[in-house]
Amino acid sequence: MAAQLEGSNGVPGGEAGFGADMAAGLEALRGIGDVEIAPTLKDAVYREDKLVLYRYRPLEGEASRTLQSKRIPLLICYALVNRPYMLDLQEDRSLIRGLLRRGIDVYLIDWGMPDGADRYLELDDYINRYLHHCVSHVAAAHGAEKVNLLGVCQGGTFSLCYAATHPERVQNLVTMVTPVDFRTPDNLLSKWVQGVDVDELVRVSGNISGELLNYVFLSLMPFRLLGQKYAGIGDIAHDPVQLRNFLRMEKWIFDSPDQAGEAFRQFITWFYRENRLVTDTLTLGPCPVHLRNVTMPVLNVYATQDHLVPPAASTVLKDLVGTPDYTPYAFNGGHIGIYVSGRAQKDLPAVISDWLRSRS
Amino acid sequence: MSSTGGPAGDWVHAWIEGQKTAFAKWSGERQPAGVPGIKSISELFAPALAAAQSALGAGAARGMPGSLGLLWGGQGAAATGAATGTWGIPGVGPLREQQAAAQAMASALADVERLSLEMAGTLARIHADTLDLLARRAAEQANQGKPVEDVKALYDLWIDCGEVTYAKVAHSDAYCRLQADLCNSGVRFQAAERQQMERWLKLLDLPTRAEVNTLNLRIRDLQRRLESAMARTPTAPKASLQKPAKKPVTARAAPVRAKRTSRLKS
Repeated sequence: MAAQLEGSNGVPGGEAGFGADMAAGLEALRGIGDVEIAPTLKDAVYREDKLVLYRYRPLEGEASRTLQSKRIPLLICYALVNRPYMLDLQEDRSLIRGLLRRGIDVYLIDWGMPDGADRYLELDDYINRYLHHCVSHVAAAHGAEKVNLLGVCQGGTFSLCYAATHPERVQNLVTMVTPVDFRTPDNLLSKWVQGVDVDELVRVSGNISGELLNYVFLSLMPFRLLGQKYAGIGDIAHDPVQLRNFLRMEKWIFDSPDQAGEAFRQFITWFYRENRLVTDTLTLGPCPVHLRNVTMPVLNVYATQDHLVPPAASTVLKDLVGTPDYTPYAFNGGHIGIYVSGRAQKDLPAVISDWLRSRS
Repeated sequence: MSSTGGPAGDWVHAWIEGQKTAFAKWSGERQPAGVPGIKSISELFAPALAAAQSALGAGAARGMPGSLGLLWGGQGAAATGAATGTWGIPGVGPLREQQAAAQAMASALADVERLSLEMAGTLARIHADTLDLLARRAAEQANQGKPVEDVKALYDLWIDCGEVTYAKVAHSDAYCRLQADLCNSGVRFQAAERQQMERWLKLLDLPTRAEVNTLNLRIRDLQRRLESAMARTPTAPKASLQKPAKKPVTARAAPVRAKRTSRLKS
């Protein structure tokens, strides 16, 4: 669709400046080499099928671990879409390091990369089996009945479902950029999927490829995400640190797992099309999911400029949960900025840890 | 207003007009149906169809064993039918099922082609509308004494205009419908392709995806029955189906090291 740049003689400053900046940026990328991600040390403490549960090591040695072990641990449930290392992308962009620094014992679920053998995994498997087993493992390891649960994006939706069906296992619930109402008027993704025959799509395609999902996400804002972002490389050409940050983000964005077909079909149908959380009609396996059963304290963190999970899709939670202890927190940023922006590093770990500590 | 030429300044005006001209040239030379510069899928597939027609004709099929020869012969006949205008005739005789399957695939492909062209037209309109909005915005800025000063600023303004124009279209019912129809037609084509492929695989006694799916479902069913049975057995360890962590947590457990990306290709 893009035509070639033409007819620009007489440009103030010349096109050469813009073009030269981009060329310099690309040239600088050539010399960057490898980038490291997920720098914080962690141990695999539980495995099931492709799932791996990690426990992060404390940043300040065993004394911190002793301190941590006396507190209820925090289990982070990330989305199936994208990889969870976004929460520990690099040392100075790591929600997990921020939480560790505040003495929180952090566990993280890595769902793994589904393949053809996983195509019939259901949401019931992810929530009532995998997530439940992780909660049980973490609780048992700490001699506790309950854990603190933090769900991110789709993982927040899963965490809500889990907390509603197993309220006795969740001490406190934190949801981050979590969709609850999937039919808000500003939800473009939701509008697009309404007419898609997802049953046939999954029947024919099996698992849904991560590449396909990437294209869908990029096409939500194609000018910015396919154009401006890369044109901006010229602006950071002189700064290897920023170039490495850029490359880490690129890796995360496009390192996308395929989606287990049946779970994807259920998620699109039950959440995006039928909005069952809001209509109170969701059942996972044998368990009806009623958000009014979410009776533990809830901290709901949402992003005010989120183009994937519009604020209204998340804030409706207040009216649906059964807890009297509901705390909303509006982060001034977007769906990605809430993980990696400087403000996020400064604010969110403190907000979450303070909120948890006051309820421990 | 700029002191020279167009309302947004000579160079901005010239750049936008240049873009419009380039776009018109790029899109206008080959669009009898009013769709810019997109080669039809039939055109793209033409050489392959011709080759298939040649290779899969009755002559080629004669060398194949048993029903496989009939099948490939049928494909050749279907391709020949497509070329000679008999494609739409309902299948009859021993090859009618193969012909019907091939016709279904062709029908799905035709839908994909039609909807792809419609989508291309929609995207072309977005591009054109973006340039119009860019011209208006640039003029507005110039009138407010804040003219676009360099190419980067113009580019960023173009991005803003593009997103505004695109969002308006992307949220519309018509676009949502078109995108869904395009997706659904692509899936129908893929399904028809797979049906053909699975028929061939069965003739060669090779495993098919449908068979693997059946096995997957049976394994899942068995796993659930086993879990259910074990849950009812008081002596059974609850987590016996769960694999223990490969690396038990000990003070000496080797930490998971930071991952490394593969070296960037230059």
